[in-house]
Amino acid sequence: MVTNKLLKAGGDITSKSEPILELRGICKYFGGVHALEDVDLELYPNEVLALVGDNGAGKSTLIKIIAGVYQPDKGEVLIEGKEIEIRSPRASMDLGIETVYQELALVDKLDVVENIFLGRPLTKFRWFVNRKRMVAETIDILKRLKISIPSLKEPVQNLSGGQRQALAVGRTIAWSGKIVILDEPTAALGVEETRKVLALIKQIKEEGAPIIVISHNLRHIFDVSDRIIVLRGGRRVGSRIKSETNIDEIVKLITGSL
Amino acid sequence: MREQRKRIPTEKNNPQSTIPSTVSSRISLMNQWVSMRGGKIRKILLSGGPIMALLFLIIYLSFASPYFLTVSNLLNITRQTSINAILAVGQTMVIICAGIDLSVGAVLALSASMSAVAMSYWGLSFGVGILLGVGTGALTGFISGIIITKGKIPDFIATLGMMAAARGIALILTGGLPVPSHFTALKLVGYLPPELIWLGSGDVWGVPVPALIIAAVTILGWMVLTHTTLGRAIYAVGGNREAARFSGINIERTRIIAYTIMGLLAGVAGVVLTGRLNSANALMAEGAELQSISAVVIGGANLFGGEGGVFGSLIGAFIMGVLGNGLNLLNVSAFWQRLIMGLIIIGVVVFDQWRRRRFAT
Ligand SMILES: Nc1ncnc2c1ncn2[C@@H]1O[C@H](COP(=O)(O)OP(=O)(O)O)[C@@H](O)[C@H]1O
Ligand SMILES: [Mg+2]
Repeated sequence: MVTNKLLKAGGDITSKSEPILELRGICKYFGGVHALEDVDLELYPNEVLALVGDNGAGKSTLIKIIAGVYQPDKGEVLIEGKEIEIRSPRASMDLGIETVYQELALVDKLDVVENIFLGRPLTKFRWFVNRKRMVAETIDILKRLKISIPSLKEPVQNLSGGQRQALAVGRTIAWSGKIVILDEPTAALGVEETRKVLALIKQIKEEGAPIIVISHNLRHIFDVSDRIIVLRGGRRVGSRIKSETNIDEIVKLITGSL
Repeated sequence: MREQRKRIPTEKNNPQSTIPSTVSSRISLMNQWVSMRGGKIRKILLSGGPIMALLFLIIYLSFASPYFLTVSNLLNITRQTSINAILAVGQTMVIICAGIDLSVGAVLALSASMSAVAMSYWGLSFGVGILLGVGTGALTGFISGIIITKGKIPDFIATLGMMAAARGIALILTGGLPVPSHFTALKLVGYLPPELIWLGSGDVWGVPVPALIIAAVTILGWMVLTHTTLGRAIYAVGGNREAARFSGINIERTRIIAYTIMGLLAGVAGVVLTGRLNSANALMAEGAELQSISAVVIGGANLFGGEGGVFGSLIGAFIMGVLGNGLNLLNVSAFWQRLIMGLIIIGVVVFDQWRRRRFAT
């Protein structure tokens, strides 16, 4: 696999390797709203790419195109150099792209087990869900995450904001994707919980999966990312290697005062 | 619970965890990142509400009327409830999926007319006639599903249209006459096969055939909803459509299947009712859609989707059946019966809303 070879060749010098994921000239319109206008994005193997921008800059829309939720109105998507269409969230998942949405995408009335395996339950005899195995795996996952939830049969609407977010992130982790996307993964978390998620991001990177992370907290971004892409009003207004920039410059890019 | 936890290997004694598995090593880093709030979640106290109501009703009527608690009366209630119970199982799936099917009475009549016409006029066999009736129901449900999902028409409107259309087709098919019809002037002389009569009125060792059909339909419906990927997808789609979509669930397919099952069960109900009445007609089972929706709601399903179950709906159907029967035994006039039934449905829903707010969080 391309990724692994590049990893062994061993570089953080991302500019020299081929991007594992590339978006070119992406446009997305919602009626009259130009959510994205001619946006490029390239994600290199083994990098943490931060996507920043003000509210409404188009960050979520952009990652939803990668996640197969939206189809771009213009532009192309390439994975490992090959042009592809990601027609549905399922197609994106099948490509090994794991996404934690800003909205978390949990079904409140279903229990913890069902939410962990939402959309891809473990099965037996083809049509039937294998509840026993799902429960066992969920117990395992939660135990390792040290999320203690009173009962696996608890509808997730009864969980705290932090527990819900943990569940959403944990679900993604459980599938160990080839590319991981996190849209505001720390929004509902306290200080300690946030620290754990940031550590987790670094851990995923160490294991070789590239990550796209969206956050409003530039300190977090500077903590975990290798490169930062800034969106403003649906356009890409800059890309900086972290070591060659500073918070001040990024703020100016975000607000357009540069 | 303790047993299960014990079996989960800890990191130290699990030989697999010494191999750096992506999943486990990532997860191990997430140690303690979510603080635990004591699990002080209230049990939903009155989740057994419908069954309590049914038991209360049965006990009350046993004292109020000497005829109520007789075998023949109970069998009678079962026969009368069978149609609504079969429809309610299908309606449960549709409602959990955050839909609603207003066409089921009409589809029932269409399916019934189709199979009755096929058997009595077209000379087709019992088996083919049944297949044709049930198939017609399934097809109409499928078409409703297609209109709703592909045409992006609200469930309410699409099935309202289907309701009118299905009655229309049934009227055209039967010429507005009961089937079989004995108007010799029109040369429409036919008869229904005895097997069909047996389906609606027969019994097996004293158990009415419709009761067996209710049991089979309910158990199958329960299996589908609770144990299959389709059933779980139905809950997910109804509970949070967007989350279901993001998770890769095929929402359109799930909804189409729910409507198709509903249609199929309307077909089954149509055949059973034809057997019971020894006749089918285009205007039969009027209002059956509202009855089935009432049963589902009384049974505890949420009209906004994501919650409910076939056993609850079955109990809901029996509450309605027992109540109707009891009011008859107590000589309450049919006019008052309607009013009482309406008040009870409203009362149950109000109570249910109150219960949800009071005990949910
Ligand atoms: N489904 C949608 N329908 C209509 N407009 C949308 C939709 N999704 C996003 N938008 C609009 O697109 C723009 C970008 O939104 P979004 O990608 O959510 O921004 P961000 O995640 O950077 O805050 C906003 O103006 C938003 O209102
Ligand atoms: Mg966003």
